Amino acid sequence: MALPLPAAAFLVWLAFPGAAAAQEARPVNSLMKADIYREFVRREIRDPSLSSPVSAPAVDFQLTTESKYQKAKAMVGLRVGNDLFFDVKFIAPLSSGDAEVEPIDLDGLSKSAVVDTGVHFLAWNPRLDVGAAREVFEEYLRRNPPSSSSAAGGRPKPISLLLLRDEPDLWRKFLEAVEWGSAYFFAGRFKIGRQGFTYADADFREVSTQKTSRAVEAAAGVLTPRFGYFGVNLEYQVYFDAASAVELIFPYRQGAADQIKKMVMSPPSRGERFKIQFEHRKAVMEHIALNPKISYFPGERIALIELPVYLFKNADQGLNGGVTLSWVSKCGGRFGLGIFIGTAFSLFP
Amino acid sequence: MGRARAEVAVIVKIKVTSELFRAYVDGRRILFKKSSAKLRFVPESGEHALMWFIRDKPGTSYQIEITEPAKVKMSHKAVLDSSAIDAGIYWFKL
Repeated sequence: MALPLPAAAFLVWLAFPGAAAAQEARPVNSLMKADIYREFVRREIRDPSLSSPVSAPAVDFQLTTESKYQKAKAMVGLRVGNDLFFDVKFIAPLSSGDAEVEPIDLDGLSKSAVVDTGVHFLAWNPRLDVGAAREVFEEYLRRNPPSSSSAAGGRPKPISLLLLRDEPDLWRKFLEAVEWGSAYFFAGRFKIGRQGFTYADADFREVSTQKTSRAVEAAAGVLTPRFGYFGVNLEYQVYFDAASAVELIFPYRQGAADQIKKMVMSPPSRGERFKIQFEHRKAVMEHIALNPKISYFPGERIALIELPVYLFKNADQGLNGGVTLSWVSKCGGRFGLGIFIGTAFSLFP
Repeated sequence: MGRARAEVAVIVKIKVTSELFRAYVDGRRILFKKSSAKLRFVPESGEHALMWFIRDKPGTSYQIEITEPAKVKMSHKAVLDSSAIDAGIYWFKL
């Protein structure tokens, strides 16, 4: 949209009162108007929140979710042996959710405050052909003779793949000398969750109760040198679900008027669920990793497909996050979109 | 009667959060305790090779060093690039 000349001049005056005085001597042409707009106007009316009715025609991107199941997670992990790891996750629901709508991942513990403990075992035994590595090292030294004036005094330095990045032929030869082998991963997890329920008894008196949900999970997988991680996870859950609320009409203060109250009229029901899940994990680019999962719930004959896409700056700095696209076959199929922030991608579950 | 040659202790230390990190000396796995391992060698027993391997997501940093004895001190630190792997070797003679 072209700005009328007086408006452009006004903008110049707003931005640069001094400069505007200089502009009085010459007319503002279309090129100048574009510059003025780009430099002084667009910057000010840009609206990254995408919530304002007035904004500059810039390309902005924002993820929004209205998920009814928001969770906060914290994890503490520690190495308890050279191949053994232990972690504990604390998961708190941030919203009460909606009793009528099941979370798309069909997690029976999604409405409970959960403590989730896991033990992992990892077996990996990579190898290096020392003779071939030596040849690479000798050639590297020939091309990059150590400086006798260096602090190390010409002492031999280590070599590594990353160090050989600038010598592609040596890098390739060194890489070929490494036998990465597959890494095997086994894990066991136990989750316990506590959730409060309120319902009305037959006399319409409010009853509060707490129920403990629990789950056990076993996982195994292999991390291949080229194709990433492939795993299978089995989970058995015992959980509790609130009954559906019904609307009841009561007399209002014994008068002629009525009031409508929404009440749950029966105690929470106990459910059991078994899940078998297959997953793949791979960092596909420097800042993107994919973690597709296919789950099946044999008792209910329901399939669930999830595709978390992780975006990260790097492993040690800044927030990680991403998007999860989901589809569940229940009730004719339902799509879901979730976002997560602060969840670090790991090669293993 | 003492031993003909006293053993020399080589201390290898790592700074790594990755589960997929392995280090070996002369083909034998180094088992770390609190990110440190003390290895004993007979001096003048030839050249030794310290090797290490890591696989993790891009951006993961790690460090491996020999802090003792002074004559074989070494420190190597790196950040994984998009290849998400690294392996290295360091020869030392006591």
